[in-house]
Amino acid sequence: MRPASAALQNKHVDFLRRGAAIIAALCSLATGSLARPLDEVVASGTLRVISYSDNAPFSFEDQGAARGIDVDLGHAIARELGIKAEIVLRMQGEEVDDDIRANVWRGPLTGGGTGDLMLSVPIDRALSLRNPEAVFGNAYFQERIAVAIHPDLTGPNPTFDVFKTQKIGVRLATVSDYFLLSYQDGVLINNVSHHVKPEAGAKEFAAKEIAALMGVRSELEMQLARAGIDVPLVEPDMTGIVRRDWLLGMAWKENSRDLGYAVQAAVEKIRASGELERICRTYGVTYMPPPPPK
Amino acid sequence: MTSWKLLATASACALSLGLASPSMADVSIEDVVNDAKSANDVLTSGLGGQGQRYSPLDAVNKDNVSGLAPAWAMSLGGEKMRGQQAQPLVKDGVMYITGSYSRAWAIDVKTGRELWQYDHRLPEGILPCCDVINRGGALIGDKFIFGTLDAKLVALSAKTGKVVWTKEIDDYKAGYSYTAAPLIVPTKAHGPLLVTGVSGGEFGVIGRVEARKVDNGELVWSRPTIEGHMGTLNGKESTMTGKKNETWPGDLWKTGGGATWLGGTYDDETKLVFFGAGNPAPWNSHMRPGDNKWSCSRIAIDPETGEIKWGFQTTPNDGWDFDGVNEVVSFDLDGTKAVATADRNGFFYVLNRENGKFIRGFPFVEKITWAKGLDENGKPIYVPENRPGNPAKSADGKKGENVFAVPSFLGGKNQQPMAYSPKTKLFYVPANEWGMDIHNEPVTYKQGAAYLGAGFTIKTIFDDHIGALKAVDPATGKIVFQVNNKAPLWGGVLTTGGGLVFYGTPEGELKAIDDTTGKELWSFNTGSGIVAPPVTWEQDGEQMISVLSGWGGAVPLWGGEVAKTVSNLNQGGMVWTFKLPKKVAGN
Repeated sequence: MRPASAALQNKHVDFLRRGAAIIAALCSLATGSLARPLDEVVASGTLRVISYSDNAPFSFEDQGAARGIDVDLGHAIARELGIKAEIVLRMQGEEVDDDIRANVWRGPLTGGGTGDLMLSVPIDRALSLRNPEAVFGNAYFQERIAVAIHPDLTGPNPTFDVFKTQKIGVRLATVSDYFLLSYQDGVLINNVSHHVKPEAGAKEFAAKEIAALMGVRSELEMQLARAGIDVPLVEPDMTGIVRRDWLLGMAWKENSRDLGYAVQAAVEKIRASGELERICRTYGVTYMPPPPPK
Repeated sequence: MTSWKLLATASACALSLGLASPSMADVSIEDVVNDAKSANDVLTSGLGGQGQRYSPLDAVNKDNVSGLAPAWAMSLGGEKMRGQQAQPLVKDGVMYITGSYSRAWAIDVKTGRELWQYDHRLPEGILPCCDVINRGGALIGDKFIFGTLDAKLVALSAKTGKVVWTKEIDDYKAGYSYTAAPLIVPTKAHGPLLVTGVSGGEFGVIGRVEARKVDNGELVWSRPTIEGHMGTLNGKESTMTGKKNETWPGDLWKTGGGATWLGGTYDDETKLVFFGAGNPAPWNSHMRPGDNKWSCSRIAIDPETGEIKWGFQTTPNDGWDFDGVNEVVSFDLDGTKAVATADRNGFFYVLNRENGKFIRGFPFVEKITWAKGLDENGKPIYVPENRPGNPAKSADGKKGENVFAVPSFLGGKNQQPMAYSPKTKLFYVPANEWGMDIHNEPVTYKQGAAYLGAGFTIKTIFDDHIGALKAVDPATGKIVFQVNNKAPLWGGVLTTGGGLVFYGTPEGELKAIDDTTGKELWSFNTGSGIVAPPVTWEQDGEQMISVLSGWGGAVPLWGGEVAKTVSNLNQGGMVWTFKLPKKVAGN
């Protein structure tokens, strides 16, 4: 089996369509004839926010309750719009493209419908170009690749060469994994310990079965905080890694652009007041703001 | 004699209700094992455990098939018109089918009237990878058992459609689902067992074959497909699959994939269960040098213990996503107990089914670019330039070198089952001719995070067809004839003693062709695409033929040039049943 994205057909056509859509959206802003635009959301009193069901620290289920940075941010955005948030946590598809289809514009085949806003969406030009039914934006967090180390095993400022003799844990098939397996033509392969669930990696790290744990900084920070481990996170030279940071933002329906603008203003306020940083800290996560546009 | 008692009760019930409901006897394990020999019922997926999909019935034959006409049709109803991939089962005048969204029905085969319907309550928001299909159920005792999109096995009373037991295969929240028809297998130690694989699951989860008691769903044994993992028997660890690290580097065996998402077959002569295993993880084959057993393989399992008797790997160190799940069909090859399988990778394999020894292998599609051929042990002779490149070695470090590989990852043959006729000694293979641009792509996104993946674009090879029904001679490797089809073939095949081969097309036609020449003798437009295998049985002296019609499955999800051949197809959801009319007007 394989992920269901595959063919990136019609790129050029989509680009033209996007351009046309922006114009159409601008025109209809004046007339207010959008499907579930801001007015309708506000009138309904509820902003429907969708994120992942198992994606700590951003969203996860804790004894039946939805928790995480996305959950708190969703509530804060709704509050700024003067309404309530309905938070829906959904499982992930094989690729983000599947989630955009299920959560933003078409809805899952098995029912449940779309949301007004999906969170934890990577902001990436190629991704948005191949999903023209959604608008991507409102970046609120920068994900970074980092390494948690046990300095007594790796030394305080290790390079990746140390894992020729020490073990390092990583989540399967992530960019970190890819980097570790290809490092110097595969010299580390026998010392890379793979896991599928982040909790499993944290457990190995806590037990010092591995000297280091590589992955997304926010995820590492929360896992370590949960396990009560206080160790340094380092960002050593990663020459050759294909992606060492990316932005998390939001996606909404192509025909609900005014909602996107209102949410942008809300996020700006939540960030400026320091609330977003406080939310992150609740989960043991250092707030990493998206860098200003170049 | 439980069956007699039940029969009596059933009749009494029917009388009291004043309905002409058929009398239903229990399905014994002997009935299941002998299914291929009994023409008046269809008790197993594959019309017999061996999976030949052959019926000796010849009342409908080359001379009269042109008069075949609908007896009845039944709608699967509602707004739930998605792909229908189930093979019907028939027993005592009742047909049992499953449909999209994990639904099941019992139907009176004389009238086409529904006897009961079971709607499984699916959790909201689950995301099965490839449509919401189901491939059918199994009959045993007084139960009809099938698997659901939220990864549960549900045993229903065959009489009432009421739930007898349910069992979770695995957690649907971790992406597991179940779509294949379960297999019923006799054992001395545990009685009849229900044998299934697993489908879905997070990337890297280990495929496994599991056997359960049919009475309550209790797990008896489990056999992981990837070497280094321990199996279980009667609640205890049994033996390790293969040898840890023999063909996997580092700890990649721990997350090696090898999903068993298509059903298995059973051969009562050798008492072996045959299952296939899917592709290995991660995508990029350069990361896992070695054969990566038993990903992309067929394995033969002893149902008494769950031990692997033999394995045969079709695509070692897979780099093209050639899942090895396609069905293994047992047949007699001039006195040799053989099996055959038509792989995603474009090669047709004939193996000794007692020991898995390679007898011969040959292409069943016109073009194969990733391998020059097979060596004397059946291992592919790779074309190194046709392996998708390692992104780490590319100039910009971003995207591995793109290659055009044939077949595409959707395979020379996909899930649609082939048929074998002991009469013509030919296999009838629903094949597809297509290729793909493939590259290892370091950045895709999964659950908000950057992952490495593979980029695919499916391409056609011929202007006029993708699908091709091929008559394959397993003794010589010759393609005796082929019937081309514009759209990709996605339904299965049935062949009969009447010298006919039945199969459906996405364009909606159920066709009957001559089993020696491929000449089309009959076709009927069912109104929506056919992606399910037809069946036949004898009912009160008449030969009946049934197939589900309802376009869907994985093909509509794939874009590019393939989309053009299927974009005008309409959704549907019907069971069609045909027979020869007793009287024809004007006679």
